[in-house]
Amino acid sequence: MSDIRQLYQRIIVDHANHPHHYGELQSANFTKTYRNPDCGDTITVFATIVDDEIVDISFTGNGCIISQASASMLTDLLIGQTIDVADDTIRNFQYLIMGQPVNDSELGDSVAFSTLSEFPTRVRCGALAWHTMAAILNDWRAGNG
Amino acid sequence: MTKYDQLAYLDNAATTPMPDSVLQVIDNYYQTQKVNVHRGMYRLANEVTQQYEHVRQQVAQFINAPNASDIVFTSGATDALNLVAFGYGTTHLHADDEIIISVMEHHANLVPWQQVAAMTGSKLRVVDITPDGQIDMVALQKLLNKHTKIVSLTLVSNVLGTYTDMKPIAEAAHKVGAVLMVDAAQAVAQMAIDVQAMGTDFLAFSGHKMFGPTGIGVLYGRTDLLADMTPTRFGGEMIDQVTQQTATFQPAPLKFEAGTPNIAGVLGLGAAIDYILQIGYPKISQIDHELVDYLMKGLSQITAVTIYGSPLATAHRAVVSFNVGKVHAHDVATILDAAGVAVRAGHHCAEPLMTFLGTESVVRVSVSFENKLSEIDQLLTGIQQVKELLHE
Repeated sequence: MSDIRQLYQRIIVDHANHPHHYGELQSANFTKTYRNPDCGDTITVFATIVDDEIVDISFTGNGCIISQASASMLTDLLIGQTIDVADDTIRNFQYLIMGQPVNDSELGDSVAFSTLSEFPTRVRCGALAWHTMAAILNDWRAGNG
Repeated sequence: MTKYDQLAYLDNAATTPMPDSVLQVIDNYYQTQKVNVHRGMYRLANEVTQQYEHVRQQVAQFINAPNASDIVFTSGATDALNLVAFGYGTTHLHADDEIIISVMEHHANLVPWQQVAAMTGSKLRVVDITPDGQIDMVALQKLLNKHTKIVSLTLVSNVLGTYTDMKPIAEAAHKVGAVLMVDAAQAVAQMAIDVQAMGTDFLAFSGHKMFGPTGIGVLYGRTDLLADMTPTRFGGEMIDQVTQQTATFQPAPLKFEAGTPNIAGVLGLGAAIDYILQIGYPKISQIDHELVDYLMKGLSQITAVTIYGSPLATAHRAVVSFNVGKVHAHDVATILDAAGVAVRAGHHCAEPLMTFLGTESVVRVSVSFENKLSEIDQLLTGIQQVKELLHE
């Protein structure tokens, strides 16, 4: 197992303690809540999507450092992206936390989760916000298919 | 004895390790005796049936049940609670009847009652606990009334470690014509149980929380109540006579044991009872108490640690739950795991209790007399590391 300090490195703890884009988004036209039944961690993602651009994202929720930090990083990465780029980033992040080789140049702060796969009981925490966002993109596709 | 490789195992409330004597009995059954019970004409089948039924007598003695036939083998405490909910509750509860449980029940003693209440139109009443984690007896007295038909409570909380004296509750329940069901899953490894002294009508526990194997548990039921209960599972072994269209059933307990039972589990449970009795509850509770006392002293010296339930070590039967500042319990458990300490973190199948305590999750340490003080030290060091890493 990797050193525990790799999992709880400063940047992850900082994101969890001071999350970016936390709160409800008034302009949101997409909202989704996911809950991890194992631990009760809950994330609600709000997104404003205009044409195929994600204009704004915010989140609310509570849970562990991993789930909250990961949600905060997601908002930083995906605001202002097109749906296609967001799809790609989400896929890359999922590869990253499963320990698979990945082009991490587009993953920003979230590369800090590169050792998460070595803590298998926590991978779901890291993935929660990203699954929620992926579901929002599916909803968008369903409405624009 | 089960050996946890390089791990201070402090999750005994989830399941306990198994001693060699239990492992040997199970191994011996599968290696040399694997025959079915209650049906073979050959001697070995008869021998194993006698061993199986001997454990039923052993269990009856262990909890001071009047008769061996008051003991039903189930797959665990959850199964036993479900059997009472669906075998007794569905036929004895009517619209406007009431079931009382407490806010600190495990989901196994909550969700079956929710289902039965919905099926029968009866109401589920939930009694609160006091700030130190005891059943609020005044509130319970107020809830009891002529509509109350079932009171179902935990003997020891799996989160707070609180022990509840059931005798006065049994008396109060009987006074209004209700029956008492006791969930002893968490209690059975800590204290001697006497169903007659307690005055309970039903009692459930699991083998795997008392140094036995998983997949085996016990329902004790008062003779007349078991006779009055409907089986919830049907099939071989539980029948008396079967025609194409009809069937009559065996008397209790066999009418509740459809199909081939968990024979190795029953034999293992018997060996686990022998193991506990050989060590003796006085010694077990003395060691448990020393460990809890040491743990609580250590925890109370760490600023930022909040202990749930009573501040007194004597009020915690082998179980202590806490949080470290605002750190999520899962983060604490992951860091402790890296420090070689296994604890449980989460809602502990007791979400209403978490809500009552004003949190989403807690870290739970649960000891057994097999633990050492050095393992508690390892835990306390791990908690210091949580504080350092997460700046709490």
